[in-house]
Amino acid sequence: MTGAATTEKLRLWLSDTLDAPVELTAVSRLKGGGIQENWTIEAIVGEETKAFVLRKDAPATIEASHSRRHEFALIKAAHDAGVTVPTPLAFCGDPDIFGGSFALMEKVKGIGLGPKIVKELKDEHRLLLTQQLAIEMARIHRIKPPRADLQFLGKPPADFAIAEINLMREWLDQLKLSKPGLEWALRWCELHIPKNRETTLVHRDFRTGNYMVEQGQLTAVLDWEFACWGDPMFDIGWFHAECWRFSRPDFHAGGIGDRRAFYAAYTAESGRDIDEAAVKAYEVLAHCRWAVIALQQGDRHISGREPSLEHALTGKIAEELELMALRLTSPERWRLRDEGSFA
Amino acid sequence: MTNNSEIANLLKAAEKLLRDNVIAHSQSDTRFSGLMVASAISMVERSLRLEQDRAAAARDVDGLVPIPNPFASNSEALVHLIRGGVMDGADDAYRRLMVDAVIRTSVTKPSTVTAVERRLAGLEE
Repeated sequence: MTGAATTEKLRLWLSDTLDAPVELTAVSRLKGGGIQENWTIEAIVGEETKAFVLRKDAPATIEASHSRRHEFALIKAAHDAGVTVPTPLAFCGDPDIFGGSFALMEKVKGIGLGPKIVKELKDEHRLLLTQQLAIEMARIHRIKPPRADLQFLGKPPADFAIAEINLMREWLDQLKLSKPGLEWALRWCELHIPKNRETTLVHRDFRTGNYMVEQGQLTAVLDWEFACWGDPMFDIGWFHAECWRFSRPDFHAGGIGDRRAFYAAYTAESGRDIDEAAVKAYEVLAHCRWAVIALQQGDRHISGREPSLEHALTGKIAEELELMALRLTSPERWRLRDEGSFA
Repeated sequence: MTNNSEIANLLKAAEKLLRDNVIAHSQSDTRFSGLMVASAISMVERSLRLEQDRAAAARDVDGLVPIPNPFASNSEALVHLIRGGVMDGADDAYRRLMVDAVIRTSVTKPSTVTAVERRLAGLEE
């Protein structure tokens, strides 16, 4: 529970926002959330018992993550496009209420921990969940620029993959880290990811662990803090990358289902063909990107900005990710480029 | 404490005690914290053993470092070459990068390293 004064300010704000008398019954911080703080709030609103999630910026955020205000706008746009997200309720930019800007959403039922979903999902739910996820992603990719409400995303890059690769290099340079293995894989990506044929909203972190599942059914797509304009094939590659399959690398679609089933459901919903060569190449980039983000997390500990064993250990994940990226970029895979196919 | 092997053995014992007597009887947050501490101890222990093995192997073969880490001193220059396309698809560079990555991953998460990769890197099974 927070201090009494803060809790009272929050209660008053909620009452004003929801236009009803509010009695708070529980306010507690959830585990995890390295980039933002997640709080759960239980309250009696009018005569109804309700549960909310409050997302607030953490003391140190990592490069390229959106503020809570922008994330709220993204969730609202997704909600309006029919994507299953926690219902966005309100945004508060007054740091005096809860110690920082925050977004308020309805609490969604289910589990979100990737390894747990992969381990516990029953076979009878695999196909349906895989299809649901493909449909959700297709709906996200229906959102296209320009959008006045998403102006903060800026102008789409001319070549999304090249922009991403350059960003990874820039982040490595900022960290003052020389990582030849990652650079090798990034160079491979530079030569092998085709220029995007179209530009849509890209979630950019759509993977097992960033959605909620209740009894085998999807209940919400979460974590919109990296969303941007880009290549829709990126999201498909990120979702299928081996690093996000946890204990089930045999299920290519996020450790939960079959790649072909995902592709079929995505194409049926979006009308868009999958560029499989691009998706496979983006899977390589996914390992590089996650590795660089892990290094950034590790740097929060190493730099002394936010000392934490959890951040330090996250930084160490970069080693296995680099190895995975190298496995996917053997010299044979460079040569296949000349033959026109490596998918 | 005279050598890495002794320190590694001590850490191994500490990790076992932590897992068997603390983590096994803990729940939720405490268990998660315990697992993180155990993981960190394991990494340090494996790192010390690797260093010890490499030093021993170097002594056996006079003047030869058995597990090369050719990029330790010139990785910035290597990054420059890779970005410039000079190393594109080069077999020898790839092999060296793999060896380096396998060695580091064998410390941080050995379960993800295959037997073939361990042999490639000259690591003992």
